[in-house]
Amino acid sequence: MADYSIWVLEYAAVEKFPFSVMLYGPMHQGTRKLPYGLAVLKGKDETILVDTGYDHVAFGKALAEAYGVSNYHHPTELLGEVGVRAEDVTAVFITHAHFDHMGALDHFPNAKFYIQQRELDKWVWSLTLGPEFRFLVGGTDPADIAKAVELARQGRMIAIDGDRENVLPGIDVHLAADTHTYGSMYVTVRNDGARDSKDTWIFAGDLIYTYDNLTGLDPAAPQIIPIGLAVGSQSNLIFASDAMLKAVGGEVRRVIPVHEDRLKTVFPSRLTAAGQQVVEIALADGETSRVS
Amino acid sequence: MNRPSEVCDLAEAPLRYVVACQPVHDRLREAATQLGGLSLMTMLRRDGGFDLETPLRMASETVAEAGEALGGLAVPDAAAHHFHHMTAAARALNGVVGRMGAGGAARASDAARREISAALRAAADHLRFAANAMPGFETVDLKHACCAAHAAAVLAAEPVELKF
Repeated sequence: MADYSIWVLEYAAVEKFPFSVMLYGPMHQGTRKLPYGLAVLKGKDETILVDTGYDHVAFGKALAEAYGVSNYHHPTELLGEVGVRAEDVTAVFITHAHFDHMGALDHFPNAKFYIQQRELDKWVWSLTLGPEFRFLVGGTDPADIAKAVELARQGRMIAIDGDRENVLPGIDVHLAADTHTYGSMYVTVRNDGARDSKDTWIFAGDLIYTYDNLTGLDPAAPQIIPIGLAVGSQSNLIFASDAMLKAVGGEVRRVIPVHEDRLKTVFPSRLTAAGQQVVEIALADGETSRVS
Repeated sequence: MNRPSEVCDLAEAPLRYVVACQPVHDRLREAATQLGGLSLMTMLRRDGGFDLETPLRMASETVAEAGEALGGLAVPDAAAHHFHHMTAAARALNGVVGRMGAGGAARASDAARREISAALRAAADHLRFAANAMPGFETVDLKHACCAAHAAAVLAAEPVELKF
């Protein structure tokens, strides 16, 4: 009995992303594909996204030419692959305020958006420190903030202060303070609706980029290894990863990193006509598979 | 037929403009982000439990400095379109500063919120138009973005000579 159908949709990718950014430490050890993705949770009364992806119009050309982002298709286009329209989306959880996670805020006309209060507070604080501290706010697009302001004006942007249960039915959010960003958030889906769920999925945002962050590279000696990019600390990333793992009883595959290319081998999946992955994490009762 | 020195001048004027204007663009981008963040906080946090005045003053100073720097730029014809968008972005941000600094009630009215939101959007749009109009300008500092941290341009950078 699953309440939500869950898919992860790839909307672009960097074919050669340095492994040292995905996993702190292994310098000069090559590259991996890094997909850009978003998660779709389709329930009885709610259609929810975890992050929006970004809008190619704003700076897609620069990304493609200077940074190797390829095969971009608008996130709303990908939604069609699982039978969802942009106007069907009722809620969006923004895991953090980077352009590739909140760069398409204005494409979901009926959605409410949830972000951590701390992400905003510390962000404004960082900007008071002066231009030499700009690393602390890298990856933020002023156009995204302008869109967020308009959503706030309309009462559609909601700031959450810390952890909160049942923001939507069966869905909890958790603050992972001072990690990848100051107010990163991960999203827990209790897909049987039970408080002590046996069917929990976690959407990690960029707290992890790959399952290797949760297992390390040596199967004989598992360990948590943080990602390589944090404005907070690698310690906090490790403890956030531990908390996520504990919440799913140590079942690594249930902590979903949308940037993990190997999701396609862990879960049923298919390629779109454009060559992008549609990964099916769970199917709600009565829902038809979108990958078979 | 142009003499070589004239050809050189034609190429150098836009280049000098780009070099001089890049930090101004960066400052306007920072101000847009900061004013956007402040606007979000004032709209989302009704408790007022945060310091608005300090970051607003800093953003205001940033916009003013950028405006002064724009006024001092030599603008070649090739950069006129870019300069138009830069000055329009600065004007829009000045409008946000004015509205935000107007005080609680004036800032909180629905009309004021609409104006702030529209001005922020206009500023962001003009910054993007400017970035599209000439090379060398970005609306996001992608070099420090998580998902663009692989940039060959960053990794291959030559060591900078130290001049302490």
